[in-house]
Amino acid sequence: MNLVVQQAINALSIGALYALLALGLAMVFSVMGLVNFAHGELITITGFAMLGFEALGLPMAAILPLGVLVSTLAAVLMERVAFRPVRGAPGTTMLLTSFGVSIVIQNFFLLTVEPKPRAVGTPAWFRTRISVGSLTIQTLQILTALATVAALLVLVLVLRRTTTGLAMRAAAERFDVVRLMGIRADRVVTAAFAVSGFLAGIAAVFIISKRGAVDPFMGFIPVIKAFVATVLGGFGSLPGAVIGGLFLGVIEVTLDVYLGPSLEGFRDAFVFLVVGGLLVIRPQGLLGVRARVTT
Amino acid sequence: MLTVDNVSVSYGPIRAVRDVSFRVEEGEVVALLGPNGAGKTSLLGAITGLVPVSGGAISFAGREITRQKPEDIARLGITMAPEGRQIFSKLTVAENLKLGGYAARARKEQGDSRWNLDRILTMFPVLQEKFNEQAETLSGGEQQQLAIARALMSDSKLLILDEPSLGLAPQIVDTIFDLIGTLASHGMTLLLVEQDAARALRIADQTVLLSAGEVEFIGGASELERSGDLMRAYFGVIDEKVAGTTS
Repeated sequence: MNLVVQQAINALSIGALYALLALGLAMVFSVMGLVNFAHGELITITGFAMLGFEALGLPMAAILPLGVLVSTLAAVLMERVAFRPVRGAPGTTMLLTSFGVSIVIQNFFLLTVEPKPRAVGTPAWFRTRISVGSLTIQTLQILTALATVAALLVLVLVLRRTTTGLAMRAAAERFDVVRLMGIRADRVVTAAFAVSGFLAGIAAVFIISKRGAVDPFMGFIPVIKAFVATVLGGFGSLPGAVIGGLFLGVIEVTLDVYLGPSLEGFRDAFVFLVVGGLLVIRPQGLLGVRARVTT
Repeated sequence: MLTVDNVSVSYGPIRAVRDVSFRVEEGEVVALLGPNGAGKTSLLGAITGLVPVSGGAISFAGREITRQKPEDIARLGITMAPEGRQIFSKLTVAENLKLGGYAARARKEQGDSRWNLDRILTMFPVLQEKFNEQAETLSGGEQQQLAIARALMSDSKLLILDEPSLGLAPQIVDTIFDLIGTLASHGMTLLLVEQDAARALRIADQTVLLSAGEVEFIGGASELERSGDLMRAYFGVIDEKVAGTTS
């Protein structure tokens, strides 16, 4: 029983990170039709920003929120500089643009910092462990889950209670019709990128705290996982992204438990196999709507 | 109020609309008719800013709007209930109406607004009943009412209705056209695109008939009804129906 609870906590904390990243991807996709593979670079930008703030001697209490702020602003800047000029272009153009942005950012850090991982400081108490009965939980795991729940609650409030949030939900269904209501497209898209950057920033703080180092390519694997989570949840569905992220966390942790030492190196291959199997049964994802192709 | 002057719309090498000109005066109901592929929806896209104009000019209330963004055109007072209703199905009826009122709020005309939520809910009692329900739970006819009510919420000067009867049962179409008739009787300026020419002609003051992207006829609705050749050529047997309903 203890093993189950322990692994459920592990799954929740990993799944929560995927959910945060997947939600950002889904939000931008639903508003703009863009699969933003440069989303992972927001994690890298946050990491290097934290490194820079640390070098400036700022206290940790300031570094973490500033890191999230930098991620939010970077996402807005990304939209303004790279994606706005291709808005309305075919999906392939936007997809290639996102790869381009990703490569430019990676190479910027490669040239201006260094390719090797650089240690970045995080609060020491993130790594403390709390014992509840026979369970041992890392503070970082609890914080990850709590911060994810808090971020999702704030997001739900913004989406439900503010006009911009309402417009973002409507734009996720019918972008052009929202414009017919007199709502500025630029405002809705910028808001979607800001939200995605904010969520990526929070995820980045926990990812960096967990790995303790930053490098120019650190955003690649998380964005792939987030992409898988959005597909699993049903592409374009915001609740689906959260469910997909959590579900991916459960699959990973379950495989961690049941794959022996000889197979654990192939864990991600098994994860994608399971996800592939699920998509064969339910191609539209867990919460997606099945589209019918007529010929 | 609305002047469409030699407007053309092209999709690559294909010209969907060719040098179309017409006017819509304040308080008038203009029916834009024509067979499938005549360019009606493209023309509406050009007026609302959703489709780029390749030639000509469009002005509204004395201002050129030819290459303005859809949101700016909406804020000037042109609203459209688009073809296929296109309501926000995951939002509640209340949220749909709130978004519909965005342009009116942006114009800050609360003081002299003709259409406010209370008046709209009185006109569409079914929406009051289902105010907090998700829009996707509404029937087709109710969704069409929501699309029109959402457009009215913007308190626009010109309301464009694109195929309001599309996909609805005949009884529901009666209800929708009764509502459109009521709007017209309240002095609302309407540009109506409708496949059901008989019903459209019944409430229209002016008619613009498009064919293959060009204006085939422009004039009074009764004039078109009397033009047997055009009615037969473009609307087949409905000329008898029109005669029946307008006599």
